[in-house]
Amino acid sequence: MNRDIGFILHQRDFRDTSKILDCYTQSHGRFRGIARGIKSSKRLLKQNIQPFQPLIINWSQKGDLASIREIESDGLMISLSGKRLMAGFYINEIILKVVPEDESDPALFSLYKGTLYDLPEQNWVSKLRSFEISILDFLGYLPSLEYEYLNNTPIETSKTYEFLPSDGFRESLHKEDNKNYFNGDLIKRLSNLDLDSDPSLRLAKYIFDSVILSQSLSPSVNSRKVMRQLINLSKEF
Amino acid sequence: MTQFASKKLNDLIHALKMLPSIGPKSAQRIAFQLLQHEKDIAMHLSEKLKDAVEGLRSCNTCRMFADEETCIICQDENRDLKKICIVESPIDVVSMEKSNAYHGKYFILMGHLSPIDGIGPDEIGVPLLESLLAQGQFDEMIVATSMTVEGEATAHMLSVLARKYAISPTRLAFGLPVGSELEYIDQNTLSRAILGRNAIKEE
Repeated sequence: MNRDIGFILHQRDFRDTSKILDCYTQSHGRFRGIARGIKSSKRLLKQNIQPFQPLIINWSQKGDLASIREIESDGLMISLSGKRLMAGFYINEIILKVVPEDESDPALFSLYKGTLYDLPEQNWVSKLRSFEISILDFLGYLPSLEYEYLNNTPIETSKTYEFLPSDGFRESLHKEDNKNYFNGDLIKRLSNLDLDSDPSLRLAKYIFDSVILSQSLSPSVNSRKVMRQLINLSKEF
Repeated sequence: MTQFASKKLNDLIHALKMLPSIGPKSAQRIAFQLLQHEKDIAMHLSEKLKDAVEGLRSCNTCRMFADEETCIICQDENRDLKKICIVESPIDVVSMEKSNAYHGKYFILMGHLSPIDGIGPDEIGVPLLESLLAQGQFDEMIVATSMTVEGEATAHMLSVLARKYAISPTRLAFGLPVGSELEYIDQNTLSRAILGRNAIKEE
């Protein structure tokens, strides 16, 4: 039997009374489990089975699908609403699709938890981008933001670079006429997670998307599609 | 599952087992009861089931089950035509009606937002709802989605949509169940109930 603090990333109904839960825990990482008889169980209170609710999860692991035995609340739910809630779903999807099941570094869990608690009302987009870059860094997928990969020379603010997802940045004689070419100054700022301008955000997104694509980690991020639909509905999103 | 002498009997038990909250034991009992003692009821049931499945359609306006193009609720002109209540599924309309506290119109989403599953506004009929709101007859939208994070996300989206058409959005209150004692209330519910407390009215 395992016991750990964690969160539910996603849930779906299974048959009449059970649910399949994707959990993310501090020291055991991510796993998928079944909570049997959730609708009538006293050990699995429905109020607790929600994303963004800090939990103490008890489960046993046999084969691919864990059996979730008991779930207790470990404090108040993280209060997210409106756009911040949408950002929360997005963060959950990233963990679900990008972090491998055997990745169980508590520091990564802290990053996840910290990002959810600190989601600001404004500028939450830069928070998401910096979360993505940190995740890549954690998983060892992030190429150097300080050195050019061909000659291992430091990236210079006045030069232009091209990004190759598996290798990193390479100096380019092209000007920034193409969206795949980035100014050295921008790259240096990104290495300090300084993400307060649109070009920085664009670079961060470009790096994340192309690395994820090259690692074929996730075919598509569904939350982004939903977010686009919402923006079409009203500019307020 | 136990196999019986007749294939028809086995098929019936198997079909009954598909129903919600009917397990193998109940399915077996129902099948034997119907076939042995209540053939009339069984025939009646099969006819009604067939009629409903073949004859029912979805209301053009609110998406509730209907016999005709529009459902009985949408045809009723005595209702409060300035209010629209948004629910997730047809059974929620039944619950709202039983409350006897709401007499306006409805719209059924047939689901809720679920960003991780890629279920966005287009998948839950929001374009149809928007065309309804654009007609300009409503002054209040009562959001009655689930008290879950997905329900919350859906409620937020609906509130943005309502404001776009100058409709005032409201949401069912988070609160304590009638007849409950504080000791047994979970902390999230209690916390929301405190934040959403009401002034006590003078009689």
